[in-house]
Amino acid sequence: MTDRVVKKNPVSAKFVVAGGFGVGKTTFVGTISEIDPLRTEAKMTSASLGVDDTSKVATKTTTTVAMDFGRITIDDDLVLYLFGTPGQERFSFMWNDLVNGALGAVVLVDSRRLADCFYAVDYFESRKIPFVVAVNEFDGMVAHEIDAVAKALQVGPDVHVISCDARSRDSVKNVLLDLFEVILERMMAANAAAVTA
Amino acid sequence: MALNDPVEPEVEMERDFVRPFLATAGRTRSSLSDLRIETLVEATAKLEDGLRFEAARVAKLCREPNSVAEISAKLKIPLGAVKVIVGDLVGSNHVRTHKTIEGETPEDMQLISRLIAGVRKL
Ligand SMILES: Nc1nc2c(ncn2[C@@H]2O[C@H](COP(=O)(O)OP(=O)(O)OP(=O)(O)O)[C@@H](O)[C@H]2O)c(=O)[nH]1
Ligand SMILES: [Mg+2]
Repeated sequence: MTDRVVKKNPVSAKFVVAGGFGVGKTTFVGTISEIDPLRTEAKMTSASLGVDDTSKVATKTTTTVAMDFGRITIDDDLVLYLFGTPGQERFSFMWNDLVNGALGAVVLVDSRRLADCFYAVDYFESRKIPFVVAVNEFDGMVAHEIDAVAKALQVGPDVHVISCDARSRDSVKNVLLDLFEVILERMMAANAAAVTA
Repeated sequence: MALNDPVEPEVEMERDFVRPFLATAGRTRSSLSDLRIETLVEATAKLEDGLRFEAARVAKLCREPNSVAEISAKLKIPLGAVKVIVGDLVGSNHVRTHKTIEGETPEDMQLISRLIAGVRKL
């Protein structure tokens, strides 16, 4: 075998694409990824202890949770990954492992099923992870719906709520660039605070 | 520290796989909790001889840098198991892990600027 020469120190970053069941997360990731979204699985064992106290036997069921992700190779030493969260809320316990270290997040919203995204919005807000809300254009979106969504979500004025079509590359690109803007603003604010402190 | 955090009471994620990294060398950088799904893993020059089957497959795949998630997807090994294998391989010096950009250090700023330029060009 030939010796492998280690040349560069590649670094990677991660965005998370969250939102309710069937809102277009996989589509969003697939639209911009250079590879067909890959699927990774985590096995989860739920022990239903206490369900049947008399038997004192824990019944274990193993569920497989799948998430898909895409990759954007920026350079030979710089990679951006996009991870779609599992859509169903009952898998939300997986989010910590998925979201830890994320540079930012996109919350995809279907305006007809607004409540489906509350969990994601709360999650990123409480953990101070930069995020944007992207309203997926299922029936063709009109501008005033965006305002209505922003109002209904009760997010602060600093949270960007934008429209997007998860099937369009340009649209997905815009969402990502918007998210980067939020991230930079956040970092600069943090720097400024550090200087004045 | 996600892996060591108490999980919701009724749900244990791959507890069977998750054991402390101490088994090998206890170097802090390579502790399992530092290993994120996006962390790039790259083989060192050390030969893969003598590695057990799955570890050898992982080391081989990582001759090109692959993220933990990619290793899992390409080799069809569940994420938790990949983390354990990679942790062991770091301990035995067969692979090393690379940094992730989390937006917390000044040097991240430059990297983020490069990410933006790259996405813009897509
Ligand atoms: N009209 C329209 N359809 C869309 C759009 N985005 C996704 N879809 C469709 O909506 C369906 C669900 O999309 P997915 O990308 O699978 O949604 P998901 O969020 O990954 O779903 P789960 O992983 O099951 O939660 C698919 O049939 C898509 O083709 C969009 O912007 N407009
Ligand atoms: Mg999906």
